[in-house]
Amino acid sequence: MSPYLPRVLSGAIAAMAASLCLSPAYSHAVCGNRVFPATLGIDDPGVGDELALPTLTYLPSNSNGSQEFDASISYTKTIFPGFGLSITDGPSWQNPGGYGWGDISTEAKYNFMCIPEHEFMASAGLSIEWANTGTGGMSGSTNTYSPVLDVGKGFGDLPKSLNILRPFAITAEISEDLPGQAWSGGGQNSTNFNWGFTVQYSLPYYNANVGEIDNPFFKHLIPLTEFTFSKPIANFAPGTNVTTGTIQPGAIYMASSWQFALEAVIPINSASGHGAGVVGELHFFFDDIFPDSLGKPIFGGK
Amino acid sequence: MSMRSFLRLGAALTFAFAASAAFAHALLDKATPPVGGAVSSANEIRLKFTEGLEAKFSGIALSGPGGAVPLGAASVDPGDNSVLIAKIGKPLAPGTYTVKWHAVSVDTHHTQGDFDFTVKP
Repeated sequence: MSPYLPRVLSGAIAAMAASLCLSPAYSHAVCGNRVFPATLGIDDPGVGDELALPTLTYLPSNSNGSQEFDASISYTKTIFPGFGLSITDGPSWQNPGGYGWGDISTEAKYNFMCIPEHEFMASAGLSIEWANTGTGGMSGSTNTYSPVLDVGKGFGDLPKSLNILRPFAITAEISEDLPGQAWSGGGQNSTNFNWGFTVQYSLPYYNANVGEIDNPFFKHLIPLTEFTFSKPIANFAPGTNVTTGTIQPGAIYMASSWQFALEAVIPINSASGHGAGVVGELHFFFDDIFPDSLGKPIFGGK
Repeated sequence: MSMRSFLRLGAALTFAFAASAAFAHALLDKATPPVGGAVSSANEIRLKFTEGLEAKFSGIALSGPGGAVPLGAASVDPGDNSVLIAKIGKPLAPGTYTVKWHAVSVDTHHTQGDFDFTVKP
């Protein structure tokens, strides 16, 4: 990691803050009456200009038995409406295991569907984890390519007689990790199938569409539970094709241009870790903070 | 980058974004008549949003037991551009009514929603 990075980033931040002017803006994960929040275990179904900074994770005992603390940054920039590129990276501290940065991950993602009356949204993407871009022994020796599909469905189209259920939404993600090389560094690189989903109950949706909430805190809250799973499906070492995953109950506080999420991380079995951890994230929506500059697509502006 | 540098950078960025002049999607914060509530009468629909609105591109429609209810043109409260108001053209008979709204915030984000309220006998 370059010692000049903080200075470079500081300069970039100053440039961002200075770059406000007037033109149309583009929304993040909004489809019909539904605003899908950014979630932590899986991605949301939208594509927008946004920054997750930081995402902090603490695991008392990870799958290797090490205590682990991770911090990461993820930035997404829309190139044209509905299409964005993101980059994610961050350091990890493990005891035992030491300190290092993981490999840089990038993703190209396209939001190809929104059916407003059914609050249904879908996006497809390709994520790449770039080999040898990490430090401290936390880097892989082959690229990993992961096609990803994200969908979201709000239940606002239920009949009014089921009003209490209309704030519910589910989002889901499936992906497959395809290593660039079957073998590298003397070990097998397995192909993994990943899947996950979230169940959300949006109190902002309730307040706007079902019944008024007087409490100024609760009207911004989205209780949710995330479920993430992964299983090696090809080229795995004998005895390692075990499904791993987490269950992550928590809540998201959604303000106008940012959100804060806090979730427990509960491993589903001993191969996934031991003991409950915690993950928190502060997330900024640039389409709301800088609607006329960083928060709009580079091409395709009206 | 050490953990301390990383956290310091995070704190600086957080402060920078929190201090930025932010506009956002206009989400419905409060309504009169209230969302899901019951009233004995109503002569206007008043919607308070989380952001300022462009009245020209925002609107309200009302329907009830007898179909669409005529409303005056939606306008923004002169003293608060986050409040959208539409006068109801005739007294409302008892029953359940549905308000459909669409809003464009001052930074051109589009939002929409609908809710019911009841006029008591």
